[in-house]
Amino acid sequence: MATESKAPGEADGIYQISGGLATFGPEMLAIREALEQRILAWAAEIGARPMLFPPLIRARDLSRFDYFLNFPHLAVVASRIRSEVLAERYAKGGDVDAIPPDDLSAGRYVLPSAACYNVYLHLEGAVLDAPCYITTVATCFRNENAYDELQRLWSFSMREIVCLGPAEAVKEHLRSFKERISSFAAEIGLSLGTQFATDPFYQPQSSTARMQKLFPQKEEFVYGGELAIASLNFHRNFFGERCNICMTDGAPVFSGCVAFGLERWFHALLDRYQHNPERVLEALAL
Amino acid sequence: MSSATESIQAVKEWLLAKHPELDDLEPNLDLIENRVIDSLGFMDFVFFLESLVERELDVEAGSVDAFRTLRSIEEKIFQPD
Repeated sequence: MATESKAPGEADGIYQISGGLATFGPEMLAIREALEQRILAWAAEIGARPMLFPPLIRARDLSRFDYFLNFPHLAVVASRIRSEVLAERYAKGGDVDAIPPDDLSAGRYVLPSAACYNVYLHLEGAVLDAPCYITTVATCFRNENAYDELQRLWSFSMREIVCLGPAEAVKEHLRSFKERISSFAAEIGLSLGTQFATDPFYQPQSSTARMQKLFPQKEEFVYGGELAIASLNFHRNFFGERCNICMTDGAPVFSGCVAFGLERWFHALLDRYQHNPERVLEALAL
Repeated sequence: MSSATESIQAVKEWLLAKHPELDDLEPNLDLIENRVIDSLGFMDFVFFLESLVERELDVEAGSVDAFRTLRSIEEKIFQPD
């Protein structure tokens, strides 16, 4: 079997990737658990409630966040085979390579491309008397033009710690996690840079994209000069307004999230420790 | 050309017309952070300001803090000298 074109971790058999979809064995799961333990300990420090949300989001809910205006290209849509064609075209047997669009029902649900959308939907209509912190992890999906090993997967895991409350509380949340992540990276020997960034807009020249460039809302921790492995995102009061989440004085809440792309952390850690999972675990255990 | 005071009043009215839920706008309210000017309306807002000052405005990173408050718009856009 030719292994020259494979990444070292894949060639070593500790994970496999095909078409942007990754399979992980026990070594990688141990790394994931160790990394998650560190992140969850930070979440516990600030009293974040751990939650798990459904793996599908209604298209009409995402639409309220201007999702299809800004990110229609990312959406992986869930549908079902129309009942009228089941017996004739499928239940008789035979190979199926793809389901033609005419056989599909309208796609009313989308697989999430970020973990935190569900947090705002969950809190719809809530009135908060103090900042609210929630952490969740989701298997996320993003259609991309090309996939690149652990750095760019079609399906990946995102851990987020979200803060909702007054603007100053949200900014403090992001400031404190900037410090935590910087210290953690130094502690485990990972050299990270920081940079302002924009979300992956479908139209990079759109008013929304242009404004995000002018008034940065997203700061990334970058490994190797280009791979964003964590980000600090300030949404202002966008989700508070769209989901009618208010403080007791009636003002829409501000929100911000800290997001960790777990597979990208795997890449950075394996790259830093010569693709030796045991050395990665030793670093994470320090 | 209208005076800076008249211009800033026109800006205030333009923004309040788009936000019927607001009664007034404080001179130091951060219009960006509080999304009085949101992503979809930002360029419209710039075009509106350009129509008042009758010149093209510099909309580049580093120069955009002028757009943040009514006071900074008055001082940096309507009275740039």
